[in-house]
Amino acid sequence: MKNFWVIFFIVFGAKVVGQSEPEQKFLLTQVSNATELSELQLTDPYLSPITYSGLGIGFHSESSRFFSPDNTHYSYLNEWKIIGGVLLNPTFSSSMLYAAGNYQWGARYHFRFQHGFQLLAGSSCDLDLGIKDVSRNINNPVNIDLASSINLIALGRYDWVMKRKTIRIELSIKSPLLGCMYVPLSGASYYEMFSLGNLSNVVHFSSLYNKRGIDARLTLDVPFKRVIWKFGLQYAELKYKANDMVFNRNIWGIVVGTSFDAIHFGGRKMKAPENFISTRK
Amino acid sequence: MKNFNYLLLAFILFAFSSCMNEPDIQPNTNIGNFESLWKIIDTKYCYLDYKKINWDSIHTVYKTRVDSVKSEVGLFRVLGRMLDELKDGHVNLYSDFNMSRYWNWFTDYPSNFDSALIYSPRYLGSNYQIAGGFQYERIDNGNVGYIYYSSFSDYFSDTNIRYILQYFSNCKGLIIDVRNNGGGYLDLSGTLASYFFDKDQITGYICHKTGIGHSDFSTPVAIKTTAHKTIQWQRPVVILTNRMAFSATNAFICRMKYATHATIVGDKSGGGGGLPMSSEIPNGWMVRFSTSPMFDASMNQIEWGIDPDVKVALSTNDKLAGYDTLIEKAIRIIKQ
Repeated sequence: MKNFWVIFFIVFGAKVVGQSEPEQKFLLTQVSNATELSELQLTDPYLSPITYSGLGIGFHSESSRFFSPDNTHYSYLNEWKIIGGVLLNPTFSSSMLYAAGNYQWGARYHFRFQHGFQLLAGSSCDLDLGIKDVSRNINNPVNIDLASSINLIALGRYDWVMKRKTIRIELSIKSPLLGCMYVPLSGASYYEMFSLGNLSNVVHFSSLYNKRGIDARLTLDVPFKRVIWKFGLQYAELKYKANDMVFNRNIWGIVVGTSFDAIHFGGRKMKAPENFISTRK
Repeated sequence: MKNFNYLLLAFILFAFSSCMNEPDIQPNTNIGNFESLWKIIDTKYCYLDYKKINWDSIHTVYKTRVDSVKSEVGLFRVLGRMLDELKDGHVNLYSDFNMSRYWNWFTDYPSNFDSALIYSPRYLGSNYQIAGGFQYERIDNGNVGYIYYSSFSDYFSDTNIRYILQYFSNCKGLIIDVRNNGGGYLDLSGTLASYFFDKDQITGYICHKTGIGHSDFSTPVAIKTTAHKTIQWQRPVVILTNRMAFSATNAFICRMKYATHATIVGDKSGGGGGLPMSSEIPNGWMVRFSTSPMFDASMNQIEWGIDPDVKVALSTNDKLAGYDTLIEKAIRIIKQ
């Protein structure tokens, strides 16, 4: 009987202590990296009035995280992507080299509905930089895409629960709203613009009036063993007009990548618990 | 809230009512390629008004010729002839099998240049120096420095120039021969000129097409020749020119007109005052044409060339005697 009371107080006491300690929450960063193989179509009237088409390969990295562990409605998004490609004119007599990069930071609100459906909507700002090179051109062999925009971003997410696995279907959309962009004058050479400093009329305000686009991505997240594989399709169309020229960029692509959750310890408050073992130690 | 909704609706309607239609691309047919080329020149070529070319009537004339064309080569020939009407050495049509060109800007004139003469022992000889794109040697018993520069596509550095001018340090003056130099990089013309200026100076202007009208041009922008900070030749310098001095060479001559110790000797330069750019027609042929007219510091066009300060022609008698009349004249000017 004496032993019973000793064991009772030990167990009961331990439970009370366990309940009184606040549960510590850790924010995970959801990271996804993907490689894209794309078909590109570019129209750049500064270089040629003809549309060039070809293949490109790109890399896309995205990470998202809630702002606070106590509020799981607001999250932020960091995204960057690069793409490079070789394009040809319709008669294969001229080629264009294309390289571009985009960095985006945005914030989203999570709407959670029934049956595993979520909608994440918000806005982002991005910086777009690209370079196009038609080497056979004389005095206008290169044009630069440089733009910054405020965008509407949305992501629809549905978790399809199957017997053994849950497959996540995501559709993300991004569309530029307002911003500014660099567009050269069609008759002005880069010699005049940059050697002589004549940069008038090269920076333009952009809105839906002169710049429209959609960057959509449909992906399936399929867990396989310890990795979540991401397969999908991408469609991006961008059209903008300035200095009496209409520029066009179409990208169709397939996406293959992986997705995982990571935790980041940083600052004074966020110390890694002892049971998290880092290579830093 | 209701007002806000109306405003939002108005914004959306305004935004999506804007016209962002791409221009119609002509089909890859004989007529389509002809129309495309004609339109590129009509909207982008910069000298139609200056040269008083009736481009509409040229459309009428050449459209009938295109109608009867049966082959790709025939089409190229007709389109090339149409471009010849512009009388511009900067206008070319490039296909996989040929390049159209207008060369009358130098073939219609005496060359005033014989390479056999400049490589004779009296001038460069056979043991001349080479630095960057320059061939140079002391001539006239070491009294005069002579540089032959055949292309503004050949890069040179400050170090090259420093060595060359050091080599000529005991010379009374310098001859820069740019005859038969068909041009190259425009920025090199400014770099070479910079060694002969003691202060920054506006030596020209440039503008570009801003619309599809033949006279839609931007406000001219000054082209400044900046004096080199550490290397300056402040003794007489004579520039030798002929009709084959074209494009970037023409621009170099235009700058040197304003250099304090410079004299331009020879024939009128070949011109090519319009900075060329490229475009493309549906069958993939590339067209090069002048888009940005350049002017001298008094806003005179330099498309047809620049008159020399001292006009000299290569004399047949001198040539037979092994003398280059222009170089001999330059030596006399320097010795004066």
